Amino acid sequence: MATKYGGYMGKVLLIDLLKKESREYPFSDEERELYIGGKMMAAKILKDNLTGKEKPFSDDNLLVITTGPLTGSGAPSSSRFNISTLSPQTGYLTSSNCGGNFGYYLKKAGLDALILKGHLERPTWIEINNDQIVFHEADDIWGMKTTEVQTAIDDKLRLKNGRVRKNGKICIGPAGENQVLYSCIVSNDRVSGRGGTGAIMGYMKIKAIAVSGNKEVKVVNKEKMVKLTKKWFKYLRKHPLTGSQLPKLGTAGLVSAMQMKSILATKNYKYGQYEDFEAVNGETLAKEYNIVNKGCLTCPIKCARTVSVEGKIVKGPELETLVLLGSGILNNDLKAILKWNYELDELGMDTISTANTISYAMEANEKGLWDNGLEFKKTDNLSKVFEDIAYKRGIGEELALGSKRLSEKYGGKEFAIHAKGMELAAYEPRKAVGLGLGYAVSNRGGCHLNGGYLVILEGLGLAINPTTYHGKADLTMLFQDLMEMISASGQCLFTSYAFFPSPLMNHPNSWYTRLANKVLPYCGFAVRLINKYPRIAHLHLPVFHHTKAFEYVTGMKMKFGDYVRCGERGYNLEREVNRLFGVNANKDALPKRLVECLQDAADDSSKVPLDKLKKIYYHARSWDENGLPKAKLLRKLKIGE
Amino acid sequence: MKVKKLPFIDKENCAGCRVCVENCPTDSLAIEDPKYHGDIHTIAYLKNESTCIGCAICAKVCPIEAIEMKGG
Repeated sequence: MATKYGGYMGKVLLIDLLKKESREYPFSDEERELYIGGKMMAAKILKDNLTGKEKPFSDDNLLVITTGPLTGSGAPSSSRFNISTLSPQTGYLTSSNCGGNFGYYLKKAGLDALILKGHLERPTWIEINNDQIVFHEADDIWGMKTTEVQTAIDDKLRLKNGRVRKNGKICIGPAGENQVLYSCIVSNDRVSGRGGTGAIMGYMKIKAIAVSGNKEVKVVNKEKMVKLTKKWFKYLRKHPLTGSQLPKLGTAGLVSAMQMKSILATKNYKYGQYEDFEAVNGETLAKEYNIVNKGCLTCPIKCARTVSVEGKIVKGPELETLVLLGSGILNNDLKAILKWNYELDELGMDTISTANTISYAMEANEKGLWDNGLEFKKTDNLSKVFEDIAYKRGIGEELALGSKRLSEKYGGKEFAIHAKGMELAAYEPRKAVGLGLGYAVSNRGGCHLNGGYLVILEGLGLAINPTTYHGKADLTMLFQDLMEMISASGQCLFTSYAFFPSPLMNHPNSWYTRLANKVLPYCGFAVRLINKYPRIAHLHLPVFHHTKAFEYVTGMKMKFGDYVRCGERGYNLEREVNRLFGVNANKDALPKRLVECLQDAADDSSKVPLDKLKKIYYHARSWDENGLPKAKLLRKLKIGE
Repeated sequence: MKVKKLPFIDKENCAGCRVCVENCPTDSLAIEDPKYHGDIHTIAYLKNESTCIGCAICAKVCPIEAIEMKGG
């Protein structure tokens, strides 16, 4: 439906795979105002189409690929797109965000979102070029790994002059084809990793989608946006996190800080420190293996890096992969991690869930629960194990189920490190309990980002008391809502790192940083005031450029308070989708290891006080004791009307 | 004879966001290689003047208007 707003192309396309037909899916300007784009738009579409009876692998599930209004607008780090669906891993909604250029080209094809429903009889790849949609047989590319298939499709899109038509692609590897529960969708060398979106695409028998076009994103106030973008680029390039740490070391730069703060997931989250951490940290990676840093389209931060694997220049590992395939399984061979990272991307498998499933299996074997041949420190056979998972061969067929299901079969639920069925990220939360809360309540399962990423205050940016419960629930809510909105707008969450004033980052031992660390946990009242009445923040914050950019691109009014409120709506909307599928307070859980066992026997506070945190969090969110949004809140947020 | 205009990039402001490179129909633009590890001051440049057709798409799509077309 045509739109009066800038930033949007005004069209959501639904492809019915069973009929091989497409039609425009109605999405009005009123809905754009409320549900913005990205994961929020996707949640709205899922909420309107699911009843709670659908299964992930069924023709009733939808794969919803969305952009945000800032995608393709030229705003910094704004090439992102989102994929939401009913997750085969959790049975709840998952949303998975990805860089690369697919989102950018979706907009150039004139689409804000693409919805896929049903399945095809034969392997297929779909070509979208402006308004034209073509279904191509994919027998010749089915079975290919992710780089090979993208190269093959580029060849198919070659023009008469020999050049490849400019396009953005998504694809799956063998793991997605075989519906491994944690398989992912790959775009260039970026990955929509979490929640098993690749398995749903595999169920649909879609090997790849290539989009291209020549449409333009309208920016309502171009002059002001150009000025702001110029200033924003400079700001990001000067900030210590986005202009120095991330470009130099990438996310891998956090390993050493995690070790220092005892939050480095080690031996399947039994410990928070690893004696050989220096062998697998960001500094060693940068010194020994990195070739160059590089960025996604439109991004000045350039946090990605390339490494050499078997003579090929490929993407280097992110923090999660480095930790979970390093300290997580007691492996100090960094070169092996680079190879596995490449292999897993080629197979199209989420590195986080793969690594955590392996570390669960190693511990189950060590404890005599499951004789599977996997052992901590013994890593010479892992490349074969990964292949076996992707092709569901031998032991791989079981490992393809993930740690939750395996622990239900073999025992050891207390050390199956997942939330709602999705394995946790690389931060051991007993010394960062705010993040522990985030993992537990996160809508998509054990995710640090969807969980609010409070660890940035608990040791990785600032250093507030990591084990106190004070202030954590309110801050978690605020951060979740802010990140919800950044993501829905189409921007990378790393742009929010620059929200933290540079002096605090540059001078961690200064009196003002120490004061901030002391005071922040007791600012719950102020944070709750913003959470409850976001409109009191009816202004643009000088260090938060996102709101102004949103206004200049779309023409909608969006002050900081409105931004927080929109994010809150999105978070609750996803919770409402999950309510249909039975989510409640009991499902906001962590394994016993993290909530009952002390990480440090001498420190009574070194576990996640989850019940206490959840109670405060539910109250802050105006959810009932069962962890569900109250009717009054839903009315206030205009959800379900 | 009509003289082809070529893109001139404002080195001071270009953030190397790659939008111009992605949109160049003749692949005539590129981003500089990093000069050191962690270098974020890599900017766009005209790598092949002979293939540039002077279409000015790069100047049009640059989000900070850092590209100007100038007579050849």
